[in-house]
Amino acid sequence: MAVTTAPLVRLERVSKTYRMGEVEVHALRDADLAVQRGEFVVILGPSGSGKTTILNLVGGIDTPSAGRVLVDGADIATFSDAALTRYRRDTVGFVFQFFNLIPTLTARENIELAAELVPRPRNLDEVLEAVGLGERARHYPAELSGGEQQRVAIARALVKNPPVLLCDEPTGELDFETGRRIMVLLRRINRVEGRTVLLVTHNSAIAAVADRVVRLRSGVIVADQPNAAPLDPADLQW
Amino acid sequence: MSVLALKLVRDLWQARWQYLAVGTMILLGVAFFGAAYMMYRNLEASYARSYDRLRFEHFGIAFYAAPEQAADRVRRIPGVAAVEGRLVEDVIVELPGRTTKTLMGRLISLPANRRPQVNDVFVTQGRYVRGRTAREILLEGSFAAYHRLRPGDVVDVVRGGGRARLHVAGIVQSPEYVFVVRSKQDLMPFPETFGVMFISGDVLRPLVGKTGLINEIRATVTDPARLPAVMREAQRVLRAYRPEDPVARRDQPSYQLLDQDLQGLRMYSVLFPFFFLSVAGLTVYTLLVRMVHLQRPVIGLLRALGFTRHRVVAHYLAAAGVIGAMSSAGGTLLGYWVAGGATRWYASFISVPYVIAVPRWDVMAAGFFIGAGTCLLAGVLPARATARIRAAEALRTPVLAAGRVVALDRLVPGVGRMRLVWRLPFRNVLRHPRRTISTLFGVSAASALIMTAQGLLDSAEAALDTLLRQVFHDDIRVEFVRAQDRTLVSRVRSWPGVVWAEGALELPVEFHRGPVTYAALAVGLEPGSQLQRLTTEDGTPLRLGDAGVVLGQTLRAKLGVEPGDLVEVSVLRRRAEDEPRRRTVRVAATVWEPIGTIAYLPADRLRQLFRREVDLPKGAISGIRVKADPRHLGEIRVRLLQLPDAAAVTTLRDLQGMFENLMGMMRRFIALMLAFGMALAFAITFNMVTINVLERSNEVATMRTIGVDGWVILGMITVENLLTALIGVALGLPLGRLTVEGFLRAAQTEEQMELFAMKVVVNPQTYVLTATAIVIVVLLSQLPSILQVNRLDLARATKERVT
Repeated sequence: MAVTTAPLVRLERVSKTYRMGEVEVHALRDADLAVQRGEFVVILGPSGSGKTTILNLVGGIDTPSAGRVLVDGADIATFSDAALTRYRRDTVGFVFQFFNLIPTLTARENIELAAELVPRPRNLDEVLEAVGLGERARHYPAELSGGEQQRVAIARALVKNPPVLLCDEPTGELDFETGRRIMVLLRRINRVEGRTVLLVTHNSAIAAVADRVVRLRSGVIVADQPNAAPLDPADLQW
Repeated sequence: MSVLALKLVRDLWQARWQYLAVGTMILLGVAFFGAAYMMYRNLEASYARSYDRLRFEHFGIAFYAAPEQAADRVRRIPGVAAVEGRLVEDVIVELPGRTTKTLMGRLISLPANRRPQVNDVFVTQGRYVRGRTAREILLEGSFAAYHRLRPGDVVDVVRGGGRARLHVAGIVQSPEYVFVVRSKQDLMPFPETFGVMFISGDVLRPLVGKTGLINEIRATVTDPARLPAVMREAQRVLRAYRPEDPVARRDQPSYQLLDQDLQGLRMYSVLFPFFFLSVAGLTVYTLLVRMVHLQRPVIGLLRALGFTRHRVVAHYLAAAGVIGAMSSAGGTLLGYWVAGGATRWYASFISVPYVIAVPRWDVMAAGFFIGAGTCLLAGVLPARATARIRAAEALRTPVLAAGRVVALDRLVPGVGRMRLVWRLPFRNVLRHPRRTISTLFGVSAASALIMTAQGLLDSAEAALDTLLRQVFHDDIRVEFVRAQDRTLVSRVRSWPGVVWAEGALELPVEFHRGPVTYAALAVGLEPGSQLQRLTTEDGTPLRLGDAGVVLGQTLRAKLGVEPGDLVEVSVLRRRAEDEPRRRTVRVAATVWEPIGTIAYLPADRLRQLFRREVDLPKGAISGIRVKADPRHLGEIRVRLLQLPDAAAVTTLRDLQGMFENLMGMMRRFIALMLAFGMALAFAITFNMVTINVLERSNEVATMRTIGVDGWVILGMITVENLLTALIGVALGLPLGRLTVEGFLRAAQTEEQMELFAMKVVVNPQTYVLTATAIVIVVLLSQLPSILQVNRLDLARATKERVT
């Protein structure tokens, strides 16, 4: 795995505080993190530890209360709404826990919707083939299994050709076998296409496939360790 | 309060704006029903009490002249309760000090030293006439109000060569002139040129040279069921005086107009709330379906905890019940409050002597139960659906809602080639078919309501336009109290500013065909009249000739004749000594006119037909019509009034003004209906749009997360709403057209057609106006949802489960 010295994503002393009525909730405290181009990083932590907050901040759908979120050298925390939209369109691809497909669009159309947003999208059929959905392209989400829906979601993220894939509990709603196949797919995309992947999960078993594992607890990064021998996702067990 | 009840309150509070919108629809529907139906009942009671207290006639018979004792013959008929024999004379009235105020007055005799036993008057200002010989009169209220006449003022009455000054003793309201119209052939209330006055018979008779005579009998009966028999008997005992056909109360012009008005109000009071409550019911249904859908896990939990099916069903049904009860209660109160004020306002507008404005508990209860019942009914299906939910399933991951949908974008040409973001709104239109049907029904109903209101106005304006611009081509006309010679017309033609003048002869006549006898106005025109255009029902211009009589469409329908048929005609108000001779004439053609009870003949032919009965010299005319240079109109008006026996002078502008006055009331009503239609459209689209956006917050957030611009999403929502609105409008416009036709057909009863006939006319602008109004309302109603989309927390919304 090629690691360069200039990180693609960098969090510098980032904090995020939410106000829930009278109570202030510190979702993230003074987090520092650097993700290199082409890295497969798993952010691991229990519920409420702040892992999704990191993903949202990097994805430009949330803003930090303090600190800087640098992506390719630019502080996206200072971006206007329009600039953030462009950033999300061009730089990141999201994969959600609940797939978030548009139920009135077929699998292919869900992917096409994202493809329309960028000037040079990837070939739709190629992407569908890449995620193994060539046969099911004309089906609506309600007609697909959970695993198939997640594949559509991954294809939707990929079709824009973003350098970064942000995956929020991508196996959270799937059974073991389907979840493992999704992990195989994500790892292949990372390895073959060289895309940077940030994957958030509470499932510690998944951490074994990562190049690096970041552990969070109560909004604080408690560990940031490289994985010298990532596991082949096909061998995953949980 | 039980925890379940508390949950219900909080559930309703969470979607308060949507429930408020649907509640407003129910409130408006119930309020409209309550206000209009109570107003109808109050007016009906007010009219009944006025008729009762003032002893309004059950029937009347007119004749040329009879001795006062003739009334006794009728009095002796079994079943007759009271009889008044009276003299009624149309005279010229001048208002001293107002040079151009020469008007037509109807003097009605009052019995000496007592109040009339039939058709008494209600004194609103001043006092009743004193003594039998005092030169005092009582003025009907609308005439007095128009000319600002008060007790103590004087009016001059001109009859033949004589003139008499009369003092106004009081201002009165009369049960036979609630709508002050001259006759069934002249039904427009026109206080500027026509007024009714009551005077002691002992003063009137010498004034008009008819001492000891009466020309009308007005009577009441003890048993209205025996009225036809009593009327026949009355006509028989008066046959020596050649009586006209008796006129029953229900055919009396003022009574008929009021009754028409009342029936119209009753119809509107039921039809409009029906629109509102139907749409409100569908909206409640949609809201509850959504509530039940969103709360599947909660329902599962309630069942798992041990709540019975009945309890859960009742809990969700209670939501509908609470909305229905609260809004119906509000609507009932509002209706009650409006009904009292509206009754008093309308009663004062049309001068009803006795006004009854009381709460109608039965109407209020009916309104409440209809409103609340509609909601409960709408809630039954969604509430019952909760009984079918199985706890174990409901507590598991929800099933993705929308499956295969109708890809409308592929069916609409051109759309398939558009970018997917613009195709998506087409797809979403049919995403929830039942909800779409509800929305379409609501939008169609609102469109129909707006269009019905405007369409009725269009039809009325078109009828007026036909009358004032297509039928009448004169600018000013004068009527004579007695027939004048045609040579006057040549004189008028020579006046400066007169473009053209024509004489006309108008005679009240009766048409007979088989068992049918129908009173109408015969108008004799100059052949090739330039100032009155006659056109056939299909719009072809018609020229009067010797072929026969031209009948208005109502007259044709009443008599059941077609061109080429023969009808008999006799003249009314003939001299008593004449035989009631009927002449046979051929129907040459029929015309369509708003006042469809007129028959047209060449003036000479009309004169010739009745020259013996009505003593018409050759060349006699009863009025002159003038086309004038607008700059000389004032001067011509004064000169026309100075012609011998000139009575009312009416300009086209006067007529327009009078109609405008009548239309003003209609316009206010239309404006109210438009406001209701817009409110309906707003409420339905606000609810549907809000539900759509709320349900799709995850979808919208996802799109924004993957990089779709905010304005594109707003555009998509707008396109989707506009598409739904336009489909609704497309369905609503023909529905509106049908509703206008339905309303007019219901309103244009046979009796109404005798008064003022209207064709269904919906101007193209009305279609545009309706569509525009709906589009504006839809755009406005989506604003709250759009603000919500802008404020959407993407991080949170994308984490929500899509169901």
